[in-house]
Amino acid sequence: MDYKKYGSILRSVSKPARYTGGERGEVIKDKSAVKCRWAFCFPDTYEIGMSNLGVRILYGALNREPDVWCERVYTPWVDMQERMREYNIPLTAHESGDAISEFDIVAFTLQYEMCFTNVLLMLELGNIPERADERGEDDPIVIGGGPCAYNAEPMADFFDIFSIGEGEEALPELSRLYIKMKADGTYSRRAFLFAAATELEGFYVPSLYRVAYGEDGAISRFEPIDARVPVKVKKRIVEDFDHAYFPTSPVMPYTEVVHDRIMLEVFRGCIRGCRFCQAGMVYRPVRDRSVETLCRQAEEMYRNTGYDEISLTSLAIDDYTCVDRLTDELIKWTNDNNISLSLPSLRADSFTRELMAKISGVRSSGLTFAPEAGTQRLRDAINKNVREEDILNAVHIAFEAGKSQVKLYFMIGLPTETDEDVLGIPKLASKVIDEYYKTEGRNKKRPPQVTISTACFIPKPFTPFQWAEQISKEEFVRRQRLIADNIKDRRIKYNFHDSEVSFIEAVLARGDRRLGAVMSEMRRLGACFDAWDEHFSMERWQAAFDAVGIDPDFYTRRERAADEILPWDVIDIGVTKKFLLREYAAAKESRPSKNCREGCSGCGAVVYGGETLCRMMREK
Amino acid sequence: MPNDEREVRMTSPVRVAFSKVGSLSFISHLDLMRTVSRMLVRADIGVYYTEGFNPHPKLTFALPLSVGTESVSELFDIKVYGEADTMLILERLRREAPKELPIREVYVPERKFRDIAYAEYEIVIHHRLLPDGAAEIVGNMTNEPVVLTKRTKSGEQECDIREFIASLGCEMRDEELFIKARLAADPEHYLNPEYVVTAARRALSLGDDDIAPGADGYFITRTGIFDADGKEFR
Repeated sequence: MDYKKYGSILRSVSKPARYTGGERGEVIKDKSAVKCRWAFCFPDTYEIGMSNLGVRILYGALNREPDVWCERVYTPWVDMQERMREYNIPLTAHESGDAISEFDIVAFTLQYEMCFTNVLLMLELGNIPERADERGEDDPIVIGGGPCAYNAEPMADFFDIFSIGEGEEALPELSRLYIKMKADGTYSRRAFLFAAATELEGFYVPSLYRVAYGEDGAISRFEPIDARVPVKVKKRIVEDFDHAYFPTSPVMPYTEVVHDRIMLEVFRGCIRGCRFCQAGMVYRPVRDRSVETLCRQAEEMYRNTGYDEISLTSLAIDDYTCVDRLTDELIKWTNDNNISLSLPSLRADSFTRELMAKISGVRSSGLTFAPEAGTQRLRDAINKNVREEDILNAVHIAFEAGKSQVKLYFMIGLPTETDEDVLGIPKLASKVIDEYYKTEGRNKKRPPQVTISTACFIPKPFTPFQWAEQISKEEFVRRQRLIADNIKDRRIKYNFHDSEVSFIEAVLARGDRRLGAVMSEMRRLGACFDAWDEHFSMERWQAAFDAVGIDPDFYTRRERAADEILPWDVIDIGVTKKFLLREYAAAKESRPSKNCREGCSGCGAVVYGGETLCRMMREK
Repeated sequence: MPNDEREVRMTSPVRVAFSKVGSLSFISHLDLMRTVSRMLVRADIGVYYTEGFNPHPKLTFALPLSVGTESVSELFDIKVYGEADTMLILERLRREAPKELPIREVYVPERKFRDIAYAEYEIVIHHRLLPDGAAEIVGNMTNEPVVLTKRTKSGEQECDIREFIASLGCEMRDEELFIKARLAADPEHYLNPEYVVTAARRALSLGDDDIAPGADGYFITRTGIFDADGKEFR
């Protein structure tokens, strides 16, 4: 936003640095010299959007193309929205300050369902027609991607294209197609969308599919409107992850954002296959980056940024085969430069004294583990292969190292959960407290503190639990109370997620195209920032469902039949439905499965090849 | 370098003079500290770190600057290990500084920040409804008490801001009102220049919330800092 023109407005809103841009590392190009301009929108605040590693990667990958310019856009906070409406200021991109309606492509990353209402808000503030079928030749192409694109059917009416899977190769390809068609005169909105769906891989164009519903409300037919359009859209992955592009000069925010540090992406995918976890399925196959590459990237980023923290990101960092060698190499120089090392996704079963020592060098904070369920029976059912001994051993190590605070994450409402499982959560917390007093060399100055957090289970597409019912809001509340009532120890703190938010999330996660009408109605009712407790309103959602005559329970409160056509069947992630059904059956018998390293379960992701664990397993 | 080695090494004080302009004038003091810390790390000039749980480059700023105010007259102090090579430090900092945070000078300080008594500001007010004789009206407003609600450490308080104003000069330049104000800026008495804007707008009967972009508004730039004798502080 032009600080000279809008100085008075910037002074009148909270956190003006959200809007001013000009950060170190931002990419500025000559707009008359580029042929394809992207407005890359993160449908939440600047502080959250700037923390996202995926956006950093795609920003860099697109801007590597000399004739492509990708800029950033975030959702203005409510005070700024008011100013923009009052003074007729359109939504603009950070780098150029140009209105997003002037761009060739407007992209949205869909990281969580609760940001959907912000997408429609941003289209409105950007003066872009809300529905894809209302857009003309001069309007930008609106594209969505990210985790929620694996089932973005509730948003299908508003997007021209969804990019399925990893985008760092796919989005430059889409830009090339756009530039080519503009140059040779074959471009029209329609022709471009058709070409993206039929000539490129990984692009789902919802308007090229017809959906019909049966009397029971489920989908009866879901098919392409043209024989040349693929029946299933294959997700994209980066095969050679070790040599894949990774930005080492990221845009550095001046103002405080959620994650502001060096993020090393150690590997993609997860060997575990927890049955509730969508990321563990859709990012398959597992692909590692080499220690040499990671060390080089870490040093380059340190020199380019001056950050004082390195975070090793991945779905479960201690599953990285070379985690010891990587951390050994890093601490050779990080401690001496006052850089702290953080491992945000530790598994209790592979946590060691050595690892603990390495992360306590500089500025070490509390530790968090995620047992997910309170009893071994339920942990087996969800395939979270962590035993109670592992958890107690992990906290023992932490207490020995002088820690007195531990956080434990759980989910409630998991399929097959009983009250015994629920009560296992406070019991486990008590055992952790007991473990503290059994630990020799603990920090005797401070009493221990265990914080337990429970999220509400949300059945997600492309998981073995995609057919499962979600328990009712009332039942969530009852189970939350059951836990709260069984904590008698003041050293145990209990936090829980709001069951109403989780209910809406569940509706959208497995929703179909009919929910588009609800989303439009939500915009008319003024919804935005639904991911923020202070802006979420169950009454508003209910009003929107009522207005369009949709019963949200249809999406959450029923077990789907194995042969039901699911809204996301149009997407092919490699992992087969047969495998997911097998896993669901095993869950009902509380039977865990092997992880990818112990033995191949034949999930299907092997079709993606590349330098993957799958190939190693096959050769073994 | 390892902590034990560091403790026995001598350090030298270094003062850095810089400006904070453009979009960077909208970042907070905390944001500025973070931005400068990272710049110091990238510059690789052997800066001294604080000891303790959260080690970071030791950094002291001369005066706070409110969000939205530009400055061409900012200072911060650091310490570096060994003798201070101010030429080298200047070169390295210029390489790493954001373009809206230009480094003006690097030198060995001779005075303490507590000697600072005044800061001078240039305030530009542009408004469609600026009355004739606006410069006289604002220039003369200190002839009578200027009572505003001032935020202090102990809460809000009615106060006559004249006691914080050392001098006030006004003139019109092409439809815009220019105010040059020298305001108290010692640790016990500090006046945010925004209060002068508020007072001027009130004297001119301009509304408080009229901020149409491009048309109405104001800019503030801190242009200098001075000691009790009115001499430029450096």
